Amino acid sequence: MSPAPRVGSLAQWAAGLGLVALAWGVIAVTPGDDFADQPFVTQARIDEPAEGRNLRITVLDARRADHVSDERGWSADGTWVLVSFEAEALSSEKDSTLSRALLRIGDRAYTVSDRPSVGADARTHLAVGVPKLLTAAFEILDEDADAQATLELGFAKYDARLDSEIRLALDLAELDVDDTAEIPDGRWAE
Amino acid sequence: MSGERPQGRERRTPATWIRVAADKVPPKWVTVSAVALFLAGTAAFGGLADAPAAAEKPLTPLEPGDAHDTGELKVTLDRAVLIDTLDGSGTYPLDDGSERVLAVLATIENPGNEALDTLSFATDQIAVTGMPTERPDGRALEVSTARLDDATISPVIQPGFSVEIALTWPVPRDLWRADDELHLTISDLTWFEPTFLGDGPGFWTEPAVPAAEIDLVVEDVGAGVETEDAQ
Repeated sequence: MSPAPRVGSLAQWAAGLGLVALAWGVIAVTPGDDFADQPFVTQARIDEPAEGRNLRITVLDARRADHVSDERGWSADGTWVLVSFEAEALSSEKDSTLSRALLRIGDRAYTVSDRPSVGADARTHLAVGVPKLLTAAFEILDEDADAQATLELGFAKYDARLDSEIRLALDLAELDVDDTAEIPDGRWAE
Repeated sequence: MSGERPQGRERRTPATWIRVAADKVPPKWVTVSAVALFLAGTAAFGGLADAPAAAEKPLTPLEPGDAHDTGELKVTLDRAVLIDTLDGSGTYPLDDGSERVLAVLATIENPGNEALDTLSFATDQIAVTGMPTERPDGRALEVSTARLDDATISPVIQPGFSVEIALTWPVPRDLWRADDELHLTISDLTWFEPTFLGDGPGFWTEPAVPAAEIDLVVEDVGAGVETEDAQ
């Protein structure tokens, strides 16, 4: 082999370094392993409809209460967060149950309380095109009463990956606090 | 490998002969004979040793009121009560009087970050020695759980909360009597963290390994006490 001309050698070095830099760039912008199976998140805002796969949610109101009751005579003291929202399915009524209804505060994931009667339960089967007016009641620890929280609503109970999820950021410290509040039964929205 | 068929003289060289032969042996035969050879090899040296048996942990003895930490939750068993019927407990003894309700009152604390299902805990991790598996009418005998304060059936315990729960079973009328000792075993689940296949956080799962035992003296409260009916 004859020795390569000097200019060509420089160009080779430049090309090599360029490729190394390019490889670094590719690694830097490659999403992590868990990126591929994240839920598809729709950020919601109060009073604005948020749509996911087969799901439309309009959060109407969020408030706190120190004492809650339902329409069937149950009541309890505690630190409660009540979120009322309209929910409807968009295309199919198969598996259209709001099985995933969480309030995340820090590492804790509170589920909708099972203590009020079933009629007031947010985990209701949704109909296509006919919104229901539901209230999710979360019983949380007193120390979380003023925390930043995230409401997560979706259909997937056990595995939220690869399905859509409606999220709403809530600053619990800014919510109105009622001495007492009634959790209404779920009903058709007007 | 099996692309072109060797032609003419080529076919007769040893290398092609081996290649053609290898093409004709099913891969299953290869693995099976490799395993057979390996086992035959170990047999020559006395065979493979048995897998080590899981070491039996001695059960921690508990007194009524002692908390037991399973890792996932803390449970305290307080009392065992026999009663004819217990409204709101989720357990319905048969109408013919052949059954009563056995209730174990417990306090369960959930120190974790996820809501905790009391029914699966009671089903998988609490065992009463001598409990029949079948009811007189042939149905499976199953435990029920309910909150003591508002009689929520099969309640979940939210993260950070501690709740008083009644575990109830429908039991044959004369199986236990007042002042009998009721022996219970509490099992701990095993923490599983996916490392090789899959990802995500770990979780508590089977097997449930017996970890603690307790004797409760059975109280008989007769026909029943007034229960606060939350509904």
